[in-house]
Amino acid sequence: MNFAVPWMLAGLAGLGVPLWLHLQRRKKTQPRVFAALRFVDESPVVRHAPRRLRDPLLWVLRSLGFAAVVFAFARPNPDAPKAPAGLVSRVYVVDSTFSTRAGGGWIRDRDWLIRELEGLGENVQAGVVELRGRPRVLVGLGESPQTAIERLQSLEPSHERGSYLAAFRQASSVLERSLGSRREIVFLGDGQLNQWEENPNVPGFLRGVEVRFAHLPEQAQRENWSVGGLEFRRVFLGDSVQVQCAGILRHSGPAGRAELVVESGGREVLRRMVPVQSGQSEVPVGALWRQESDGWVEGRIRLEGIKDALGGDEAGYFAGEPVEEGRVAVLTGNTFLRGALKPEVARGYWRLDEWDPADLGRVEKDPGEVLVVEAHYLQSLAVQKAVEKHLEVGSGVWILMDRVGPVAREALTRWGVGFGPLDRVSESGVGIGRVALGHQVFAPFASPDFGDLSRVRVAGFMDLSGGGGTGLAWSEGGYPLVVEVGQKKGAGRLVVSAFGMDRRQTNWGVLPSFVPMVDLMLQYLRPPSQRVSWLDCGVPWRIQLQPWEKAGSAVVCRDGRELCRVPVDERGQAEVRLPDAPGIYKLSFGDSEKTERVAVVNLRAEESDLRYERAEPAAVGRWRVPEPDRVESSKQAQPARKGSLWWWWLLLAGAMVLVAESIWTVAAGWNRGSRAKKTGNPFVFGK
Amino acid sequence: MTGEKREPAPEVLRVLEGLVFRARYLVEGYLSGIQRSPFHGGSVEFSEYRDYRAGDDLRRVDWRHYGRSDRLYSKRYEQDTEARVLLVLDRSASMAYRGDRAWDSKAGCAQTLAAAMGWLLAGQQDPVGVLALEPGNDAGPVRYWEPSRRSERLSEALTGLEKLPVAGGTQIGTLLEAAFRLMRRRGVVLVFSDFLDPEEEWSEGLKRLRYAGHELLAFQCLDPDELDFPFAEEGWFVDPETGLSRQVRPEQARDVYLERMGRFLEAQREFFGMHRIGHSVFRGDEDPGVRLAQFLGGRRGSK
Repeated sequence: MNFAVPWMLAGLAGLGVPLWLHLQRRKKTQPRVFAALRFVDESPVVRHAPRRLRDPLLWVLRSLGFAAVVFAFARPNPDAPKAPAGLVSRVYVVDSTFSTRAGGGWIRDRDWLIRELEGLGENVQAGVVELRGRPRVLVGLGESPQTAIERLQSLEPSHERGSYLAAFRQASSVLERSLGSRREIVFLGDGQLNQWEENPNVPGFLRGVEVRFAHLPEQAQRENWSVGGLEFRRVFLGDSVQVQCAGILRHSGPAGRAELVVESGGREVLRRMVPVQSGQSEVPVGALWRQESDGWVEGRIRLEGIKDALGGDEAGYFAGEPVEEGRVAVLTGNTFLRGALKPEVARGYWRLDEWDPADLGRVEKDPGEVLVVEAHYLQSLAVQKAVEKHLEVGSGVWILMDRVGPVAREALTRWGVGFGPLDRVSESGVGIGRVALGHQVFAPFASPDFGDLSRVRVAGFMDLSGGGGTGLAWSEGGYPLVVEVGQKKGAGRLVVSAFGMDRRQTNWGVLPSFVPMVDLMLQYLRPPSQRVSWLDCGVPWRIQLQPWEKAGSAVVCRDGRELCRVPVDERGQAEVRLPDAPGIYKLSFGDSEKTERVAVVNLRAEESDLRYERAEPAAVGRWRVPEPDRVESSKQAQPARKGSLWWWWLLLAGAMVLVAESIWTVAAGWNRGSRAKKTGNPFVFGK
Repeated sequence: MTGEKREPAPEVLRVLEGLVFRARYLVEGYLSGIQRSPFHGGSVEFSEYRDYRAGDDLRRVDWRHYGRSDRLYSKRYEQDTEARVLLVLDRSASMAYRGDRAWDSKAGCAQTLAAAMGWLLAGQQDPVGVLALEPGNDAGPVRYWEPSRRSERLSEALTGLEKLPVAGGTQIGTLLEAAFRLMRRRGVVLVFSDFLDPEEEWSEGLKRLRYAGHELLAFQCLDPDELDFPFAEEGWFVDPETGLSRQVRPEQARDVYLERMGRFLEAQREFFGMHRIGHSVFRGDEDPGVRLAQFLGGRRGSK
């Protein structure tokens, strides 16, 4: 039984008719608009209780109708026909995620299932749930095995990653509506270890359902090479712009070598051999090259000269958007910072807006994309408001703690900065001990091309060890030097440095790493443009147009070929379901050929992890509801299923009575008494 | 004048489309006899004498009379052409009300009267401007058409006025405040409203304008329903500006309502009289031309 039963639709339509007639007949009393209402006293209308039934037959008929509907909704349960004895309801969960291609596992599972369906007995009703990005019912329990076989034969494996838990939930919900006295889930999949280890704390949901495995993995691990975790960034060095693409090479299996190839814009920018050790290993890889153009950048990283169990995950794609000049507002007298951003150096990348502290009124109307402010300016409430305004509108703020007075300290604490017990750390001339190399700001400094951070010395900096944020850089003594604060003022990012950029506090301003660091920090703080979307296979691409962008439709292309055209709604939003394959997809508006957005679609890294659970997974045991509950619940659930048919008939009967009553009253003219006409009520009473 | 029978004005106004036609109908039918501006001022045509007071312009002293009587008198003059006139229109939601008996809503009635006054004064070369509010306009709610003697500017202002929505909460206080800021020289301000807001909403604004030396005329447009409360059917009544609603049985509420409304109008009359503000009530079912002619004629007679 499902909600597409024609009788249910008929019943709903029938129930709607008397309601519609009632609304049509109802006397409409609109409130009267009256401007001089303040001279009018409230005088509630007194309703007199009805006393005498005037149209008993009509009253009985309608009451019967209502009673039938109410009774039906109470779900009566007279003796319903018993479910066929020995009937088995079985749902096959077929894993078609990307990893099942390893070692021809997908073909084997599909052929096994087709053979199984061909040999099913008459006492088995079978359904199939396909596990991909979102599990779906491929074949319902009511459909014939032949239909199931045809659909399976035309089924292709996907590039997506799905959840075993979601698939089992889907199968369980299918079985809950089944009539079988025995219910089973048969699982066909590669049994990836990381799939079974997901969601370890899920409460049990499999009630009275047996779980079987068509087969368990033959080996615990397969050899595989893959590339993932790709990142792309432009780094401004003052006299040139470098493009950096980074990723992770993952390998499982015996020691070996792979040739890493990086391509950008159709040309090869790097080719290098990468050796790996035996076992599980992750090697950061990447390439750095000078990019002359400020436009779109696209390319891929791939591995050559390898042989493994799973093909297709040896390549990953990346893309970068065109450079768009950012607006950075500064409230600082620091020479180095201003020098790094002056037009002769940063033109085309950053436009410097030097604010006058005495004239901050315009901040309300035109905040910058990033605000850089020295902490001593925070003594002014106007500057504090400017900071909060930036954070509210999503712009980023970078606060340099040169001098911190009590008012500034209070504001910083309010925004989430955690001060430690020391006022200023009494270290003089200490170096940077550690930086978060996984963070967007400091990741490029893993390469010596951007300067040596170990040469940076810092003195007399603030103690930010009170928590309240994520550290990005620490001193040699372990004190946080750069902290991203988890503020709640708005969507903007707030980063504080425990020191100012003055020569008394740091020598960073004269080092080669200063300009790239400033540029990377400003890029990180700038509101994301969302022109490049990094997606996993199977995830819909949602596009939000900016207020200044107008388009009725969006066109998606790959390699110059149009794939689809989707409408843009009145809110400027569109959703694209991309083909199930990794790659770079470009989007333009209407008939224009200009690329406005790019989606970089890559495989999920977890799908390349070919370690398997060879025994029956513990997760399935946790998903089962304990046996006593199961017996109890199956006793309760069975009668409810039996009564469903009777329920529908009652509902339909009630609706039909109401329809008949309505037709009768309309035909009779509905004007037997003036009171009845006035009230429009079938319960017609008079004094 | 021909001897043919003239249609009653409310019936004619009810079917006349457009502000210009209505205004012209009133001007040409009723106000054509008024040749001069009904407002005081300082100009070329001698009006009256009064005793000289310290600070009076010595150029206005009648030296001949001084020679004859040995007493100093200042001459007063009547202004025919130089009175800057501002038509201030309330277009709040309450002005949208139109009962069954009225020839138009209160806002329609107000803008017809304003247009008629505008045409009349523009015809006498008085610069006429218009001030109204447009709630919800991002550029600011105040819509102001500067006083001009050119009739096409007046037409433009009236056309713009017709396009403004009749909506939003009370406006009269804001309008009078804006009029006070905009009228830098002494002039004449004509206010068209139902004046149904509490007195504190508009009294201060009128007083400020009056103390600034402007001449004020209040055209109070009311629907006959508001004056008579003729409703019979009980139900919910809603205030269009505040959204306040009350359940009302009219036969029970009528007497109290009429008494309160009477007292309110009486208090208004006293206020206008005390501050020398010309005031007249225009009912939506009355002939506005006759009322207007009486009002303006009465003002000339009272000078």
